[in-house]
Amino acid sequence: MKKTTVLQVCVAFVLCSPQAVTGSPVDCPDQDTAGTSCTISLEKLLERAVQHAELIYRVSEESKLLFDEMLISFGMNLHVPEGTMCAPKTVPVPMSKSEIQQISDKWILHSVLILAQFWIDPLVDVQTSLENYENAPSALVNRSKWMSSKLMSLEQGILVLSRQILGEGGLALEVPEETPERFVSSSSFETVRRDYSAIYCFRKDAHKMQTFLKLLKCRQIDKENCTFF
Amino acid sequence: MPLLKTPCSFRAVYVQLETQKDRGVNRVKLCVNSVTDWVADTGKMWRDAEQALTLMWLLSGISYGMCHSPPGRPRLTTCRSPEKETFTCWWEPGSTGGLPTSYHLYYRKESSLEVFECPDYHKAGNNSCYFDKRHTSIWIMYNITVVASNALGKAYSESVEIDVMDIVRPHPPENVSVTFMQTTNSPYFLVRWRPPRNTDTRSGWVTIKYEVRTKIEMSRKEEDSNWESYSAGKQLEFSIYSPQPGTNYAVQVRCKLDQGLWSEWSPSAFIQIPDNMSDTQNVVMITAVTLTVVIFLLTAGVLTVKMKPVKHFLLPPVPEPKISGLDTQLLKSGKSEEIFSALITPGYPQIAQSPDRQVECLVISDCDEEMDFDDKAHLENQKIENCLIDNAQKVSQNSIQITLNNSQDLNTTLSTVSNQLSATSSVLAEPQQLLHLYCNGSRVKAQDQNTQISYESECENVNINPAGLTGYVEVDKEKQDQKPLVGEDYSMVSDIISGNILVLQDSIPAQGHKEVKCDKTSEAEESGGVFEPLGYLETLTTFSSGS
Repeated sequence: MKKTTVLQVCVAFVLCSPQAVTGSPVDCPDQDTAGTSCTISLEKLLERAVQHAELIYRVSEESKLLFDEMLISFGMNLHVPEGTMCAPKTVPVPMSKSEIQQISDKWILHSVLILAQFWIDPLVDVQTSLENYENAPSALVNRSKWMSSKLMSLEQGILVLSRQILGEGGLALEVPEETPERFVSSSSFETVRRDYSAIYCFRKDAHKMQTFLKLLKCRQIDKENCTFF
Repeated sequence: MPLLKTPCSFRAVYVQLETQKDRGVNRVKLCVNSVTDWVADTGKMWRDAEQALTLMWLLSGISYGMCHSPPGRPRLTTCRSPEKETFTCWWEPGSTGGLPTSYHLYYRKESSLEVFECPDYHKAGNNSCYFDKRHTSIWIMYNITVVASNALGKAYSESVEIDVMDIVRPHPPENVSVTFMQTTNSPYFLVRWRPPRNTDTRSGWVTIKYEVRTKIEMSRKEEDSNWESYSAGKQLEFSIYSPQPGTNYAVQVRCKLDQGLWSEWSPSAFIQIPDNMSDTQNVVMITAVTLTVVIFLLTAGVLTVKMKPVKHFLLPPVPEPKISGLDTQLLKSGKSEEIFSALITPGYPQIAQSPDRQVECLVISDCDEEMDFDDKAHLENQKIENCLIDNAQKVSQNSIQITLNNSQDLNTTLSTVSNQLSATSSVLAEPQQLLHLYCNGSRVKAQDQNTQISYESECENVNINPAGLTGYVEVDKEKQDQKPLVGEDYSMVSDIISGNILVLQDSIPAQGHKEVKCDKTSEAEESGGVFEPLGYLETLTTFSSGS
């Protein structure tokens, strides 16, 4: 009898203890903006944001490659980057590492937030448009879906981050008034071109986002290594 | 006419016409560059001169076209950024056109129209342009063109649009070193390296990833073994376990930044694995294991064969209670006769002569007393119920003490009898022992209930047989005509008293004496051999009388 009771106690302990063990890094989703009791350390938050951004960039890279293959199979030869394909942003983004080194954390967060908010809608458009293609590879469609959802969670995460790093009201969120022009597709060629440029430019911006966040993480966490670039 | 020699690189044509009229010989002097040919012509000088001139002009035109031309179009071959902070572009020159040609690289950034020239033509070697940190911007498009120009013209290459983030390809890792670590059970060799130079991997600007590959170097064989690749992540060292002993390994490392291109493989580092690495260890282990297995098998075999003795040795059996003579097999067979007969061994059952157990009744009545037949009842009342047999004797438990209330003489007689009995050996030991009862001079009266003859009897021998077998006591008369045992002649039984006393009638009525016979029979005899455990020694007193 004794043995069985001891065993039961041990099993209960084991089952109950993970809750106590994993209590310290509390599992708060990035989207949780209303939770007051739920806290997460800045380190973990930054890590998650960086992981999100890296993953989004990788998926956008794959999407561009898939789109290239699709265009080859269509017989089109789009050489897109003719300069003005990517919509200019309202906020100037630093262009070199030295420039980025000089900007503040607030500015980094601001840029990332603007980029994330900018791309949510166009990605949704691309996704719906891709579904109308005849032979669009499903991998491409899935990736575009995935990217738009992950971008939204990244935006939420950036809001939480900015609240933590800059405090409440740190970010003067000006809602960018530019609404991307809705292309009335005159021809399928134009549609394809538009979609391709969207994916191409998004890939670039995703790279920007992940770079900014990585630098921000390094600055916040490991100050010694990051001050000297 | 001598040939005109016109070297290609002439600068001036010097034609000198000289005519010498006086001699009538027209000499045309043609001076070409450093060569002057004097042409002497007589008479046809003018015509030749004209031909020469046209020929010369023609040739000069042709040779000028052959040797000098504007440059051909150069071609941008590759642009590369090793750390995402600077980049370099290389081009391939076209034809030079025979003239010294200079190359210039011009670029334009994405949204502006301003044209810049390459900041550094020499750092990266010939036909290259190096953009340093100040001039490198990321995430914007560069439009790059190379122009070749010489005295005769210019040539433009095709424009190339690049973004720095797309052309990232790092230098190979540096200081690759390999060391062999001999640990006890798992030898391995450790590969270490440093990050590529000038690459900022610590600040998060780039995320670096390494890859290691190894190959066994076979010096003699022509065929090479294949490379084996391992992904190493961000770390700066890598362990490869269980290398083949006695071989030579070549190790190389390369790296990649973000999602860019892989670098070149680093130069090979070589390592020689020693030969006797763990062979002895293996041999020792194998022998130990086989020995253990053999020993185990042997013990198992021995145990199975000699199970019982070992078991007895280890776990001695607990003694169980046993009744000697009681065979459980017989019990199981269910034959009670055998069981009981088996139980009755010579030593069993012991006649524990407890005082009250053994009952012997020896009734001897006084033969002198004449009693009427009517007084039989009186006799009965007198004697037999009073018959007590006391077995409590000193030496032998088989002694019988007989007391009678009515006759003192009988008492003495009986005491003598008891003495005699005590002198005898154990009843049980000699089954056929006869006890003689001596009546010394005493008179024993007996009364026959049927007759009224009383007589004086002489001592009669009372034979007491231990009823182990026969179960009755014989009374031998001194007279010769001893009656057979009562058990054989039941016609003499006249009365049975209290279950185990038979009254016998003597068959000598003529004498007028009554003879007292004290016979003892056992009821066991009458019942034909049914054995009563307690009644093994029964005495019977009989009164023999004339029937």
